[in-house]
Amino acid sequence: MKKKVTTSTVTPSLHINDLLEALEDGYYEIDSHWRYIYVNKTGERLAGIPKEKMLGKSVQDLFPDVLNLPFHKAAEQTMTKKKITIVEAYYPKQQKWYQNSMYPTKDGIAIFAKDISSQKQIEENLLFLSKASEILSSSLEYQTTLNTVAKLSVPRMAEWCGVDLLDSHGILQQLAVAHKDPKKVKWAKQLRKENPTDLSAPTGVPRVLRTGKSELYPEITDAMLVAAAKSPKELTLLRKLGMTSVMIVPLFAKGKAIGAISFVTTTSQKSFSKKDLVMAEELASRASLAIENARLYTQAQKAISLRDEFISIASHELKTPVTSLRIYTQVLAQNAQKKNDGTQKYLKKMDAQIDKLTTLIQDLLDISKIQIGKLQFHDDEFDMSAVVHELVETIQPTLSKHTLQISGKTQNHVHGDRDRISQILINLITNAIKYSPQADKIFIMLSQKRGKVTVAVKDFGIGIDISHQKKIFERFYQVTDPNERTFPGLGIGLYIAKEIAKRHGGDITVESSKGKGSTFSLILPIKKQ
Amino acid sequence: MMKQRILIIDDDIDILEAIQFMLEDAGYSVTTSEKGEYVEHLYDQKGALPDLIILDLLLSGKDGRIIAKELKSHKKTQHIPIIMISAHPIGEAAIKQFGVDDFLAKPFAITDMLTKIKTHLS
Repeated sequence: MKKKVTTSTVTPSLHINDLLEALEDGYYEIDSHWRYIYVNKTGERLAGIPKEKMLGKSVQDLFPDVLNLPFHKAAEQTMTKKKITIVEAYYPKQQKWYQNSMYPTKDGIAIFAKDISSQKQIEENLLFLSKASEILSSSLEYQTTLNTVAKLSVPRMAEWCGVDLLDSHGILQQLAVAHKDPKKVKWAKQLRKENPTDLSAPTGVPRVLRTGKSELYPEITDAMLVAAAKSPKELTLLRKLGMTSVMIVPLFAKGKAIGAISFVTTTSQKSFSKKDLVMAEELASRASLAIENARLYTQAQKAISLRDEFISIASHELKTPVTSLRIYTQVLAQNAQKKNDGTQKYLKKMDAQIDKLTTLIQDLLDISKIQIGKLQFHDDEFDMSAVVHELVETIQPTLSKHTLQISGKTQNHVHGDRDRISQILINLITNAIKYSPQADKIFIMLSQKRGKVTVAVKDFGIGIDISHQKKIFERFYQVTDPNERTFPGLGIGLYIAKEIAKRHGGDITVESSKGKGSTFSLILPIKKQ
Repeated sequence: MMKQRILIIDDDIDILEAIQFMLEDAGYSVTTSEKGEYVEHLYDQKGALPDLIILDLLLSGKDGRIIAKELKSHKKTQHIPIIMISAHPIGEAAIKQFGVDDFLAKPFAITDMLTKIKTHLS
């Protein structure tokens, strides 16, 4: 049997109008002639016009400015094309953001207007903070970046924004002051010059510096100005400034307040709230970080230049004792040779150690010169082949195991510092010997091609892992491999060699495979650089 | 045979003594001048000039470069060979700039020094 479903019409106890009136959003209905035919209570409040004055009047008559707003275009879309549109708009008069959702009705449109100002504020604050952070981290010149940040705050956050920092003498310096009117900025700077801040003042920036806590004055009364002014002249100036609301947030370095950012409004429309203060404090903490970074950087730079200076002086000072030590040892070694008393062997060893010491000192001196850009070069013109042959003749007799084999030749002479180029080649050859203890051959290959001369030094030693190949040219870099025996040295030879090569318009390159050996090539241009 | 006399001018007493030791060991007669006030050490007791001068580039007293110019511009002394020594590896440039006869960078090998001296004294 079929059961009949019955429906009954029930009149709701709550009428639709009651619902609309209870809405927190503004609600408007507009007919095809753009006339208001319905406005709810919130809508009345948002528009700022009583309902009676709105109904029957057109949107354009009541709000002539609306024609230029994106709101109007969207409303037209809904009106003519019967499409739902949603548009966010700022209403300067109310200083509020609304989200208008517009729906087509039978013969017009219905609009829901939602106040999204606080949401917008959060979005804008985030945007502002991220912009400020970007500016602050763009450069280590915090004077410049803070100035930019102050400008960015105006007029969005306040009419005036000022940044003050204590200098190394403990005097408060105005680092930045911003106002949309440049004339006023000039005036404020002049004012400050004539009236330096008294750090013992009971209020304002001095108080923030003492307490390390922000100050918020939502409203500035004339009585407050009278209390703050130290002279009738100052009072006149303060009144002229026309402050209505002020907030001051501290800037910190190493946990100590070292400055402050001040925000001042001069229109009665806006007064700073706790929310604004939170935002200002966030900005100040980012600015503090930027200042701290810049200070650390300056300190690091100073330390580096002190270190370089120290290396330079120390290596120079080391030369004198080494010089005299070398003379005595060599004279003694000569005499021992004449006497043939068996001490000669040890004196020769001493002399060889002094030689190593000399090279180390020379390398340190070179590195400090490279650092301060004072490595000087002579301009010689020489035959690279001749230099290589000379070096091999000098080095070969000192080697017990390795044979140095030269191949190839160069046609043209090269320009550059003969001694410095020799230094590079000695470095490459001694490295080849040092890192191929099991091998007995080193190949030195000369070639010339496309305006460049190349001297390649090839060994059959331990080789360099690909991951280390770039780094070996870095200063103080040493390959440390737990499975490998360690090779002594400061890790500066290749760095110096590459620097010298680069300064000659050339380069040093490496080709290597671990366990098979390495080839280091010195490449130099033939033409004068 | 008379020993050949070498005058060493250097402000560093340690270097001065070491070079003196080396040169005396090699059979030369040595006079030293520490402060760059070399004039009083120029002549020996018999009034003779040194056969060779070893001069440091930078003396804390008088600048070695000025001394070199003085010696080389004076008729009586310009024939005396000067070997300049320095911790600054300026090399050949010193010979051209200051008119000295030779240059050695500190620290040098004594054989280099002795070879150079022999060359200039022969």
